[in-house]
Amino acid sequence: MKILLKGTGASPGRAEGRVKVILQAEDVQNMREGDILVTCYTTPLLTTAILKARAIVTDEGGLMCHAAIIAREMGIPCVVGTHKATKLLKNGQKVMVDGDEGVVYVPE
Amino acid sequence: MYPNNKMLDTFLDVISHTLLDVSEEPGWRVWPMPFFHPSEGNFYLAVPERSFIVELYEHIKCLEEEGLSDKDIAKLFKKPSRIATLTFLFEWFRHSKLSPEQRVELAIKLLRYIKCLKKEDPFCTTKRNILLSNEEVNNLISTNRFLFVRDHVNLPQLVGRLNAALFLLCETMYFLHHSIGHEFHGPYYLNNGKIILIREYYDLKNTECWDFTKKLSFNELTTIEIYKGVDIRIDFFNRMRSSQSLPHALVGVCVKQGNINAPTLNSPEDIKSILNELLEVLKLGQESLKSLDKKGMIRKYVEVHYFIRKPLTEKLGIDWYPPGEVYEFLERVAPPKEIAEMFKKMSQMPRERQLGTIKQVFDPRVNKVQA
Repeated sequence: MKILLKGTGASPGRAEGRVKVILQAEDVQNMREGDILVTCYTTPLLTTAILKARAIVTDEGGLMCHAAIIAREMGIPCVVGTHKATKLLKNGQKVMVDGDEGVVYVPE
Repeated sequence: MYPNNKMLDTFLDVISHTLLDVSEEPGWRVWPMPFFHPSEGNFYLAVPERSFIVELYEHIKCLEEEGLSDKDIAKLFKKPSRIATLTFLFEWFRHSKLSPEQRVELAIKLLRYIKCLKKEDPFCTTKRNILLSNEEVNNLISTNRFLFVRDHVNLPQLVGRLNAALFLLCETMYFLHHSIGHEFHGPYYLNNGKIILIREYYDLKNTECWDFTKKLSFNELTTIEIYKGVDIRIDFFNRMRSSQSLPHALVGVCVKQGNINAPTLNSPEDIKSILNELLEVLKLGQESLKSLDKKGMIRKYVEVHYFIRKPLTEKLGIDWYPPGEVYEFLERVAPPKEIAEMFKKMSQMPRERQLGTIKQVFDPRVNKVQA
């Protein structure tokens, strides 16, 4: 695995799964249980996607942002403030999210 | 012009630091979603001729004339953090029809009510929200049945998802001011290094503001959670921060489908069944939010604030809904951009100046803000 993205580790733990990029509320219906939620920042319009996520990765945010709070609540890894996750990650791509180090790995 | 008020000064110190800390987070300026700045919503609660705050001032006067004490009135608001959400309206007080003296009077009364409902530290300056005495906490622990992680390996994940779902439901209904629907209190320290966090969710089945909640079978839910090895902080607006993932630090939990005195749920399966119900309701809530345009969203924001006054108006025998004039004002008048622009300008200022400016914005004694 190699590092694709670096951000801030906002909720600890490691999780593997397939990427689901959500840029608008309509995309939420395609999120499956155990997907890795990738978005600019989370809002209540993404509620059902958040609750299905195995990990969360966002473009924006810090340790106190919405995604970080919810992820720590749920006990799932979260990396925030990557600036370009929604651009670099593609739907269906397999990744590993490391919430301790604040990085997203992809297979070499 | 106005006498010093220590409580008001402490509040201004707290709100300036709290807002500055969160204002750097993305989404803050467009929360609850890319639709409106919360200041726009607050404008409609303060500025119309017969605004929410003008009526609130009058209702409180009437209740006082009927002989209700500060504590009696405070209890009508139900929980302290719900009153704290009303302090955001201070930013528009100077534009309301209240006189300068009435503005200060109302602001100080709201802060006094918060104090009445807490055991100590009304503004959570120590990042603890203390509503119960040690004796009351010990009594809760000894008289309730807890489920422990050592007996139920999936309990942390289940409780984490339950709390996330409840928090998201409060956000769906009450937007940025999610604490209109919950009171998190604690952490209460036990002798053995463990801590207690109590979460009371209430007015969840608020069908007067939202249709989608009618399928919910309960209106309140309470959890009493025992943790070890985590630092939990709660601020004045009932926003909670934890030093690490909460499920990993969970020791045990007691879940009640009702208020803090309700019977305890017996098993993780009972919790799971509540979670499934919440997931169904959240789907409907998400659809409701999606169907609203900016104006519809602001209208809801205004209505949920009026809902806060329901127990007060019921006591006076009048309904709680916004008067027609408020809806008409909402259709006709666009809020000025001054507060939003002020916050934008502030991002370029040194921190001390930022703090000073926020204090001015929220100080009901200041008639004109000098940025």
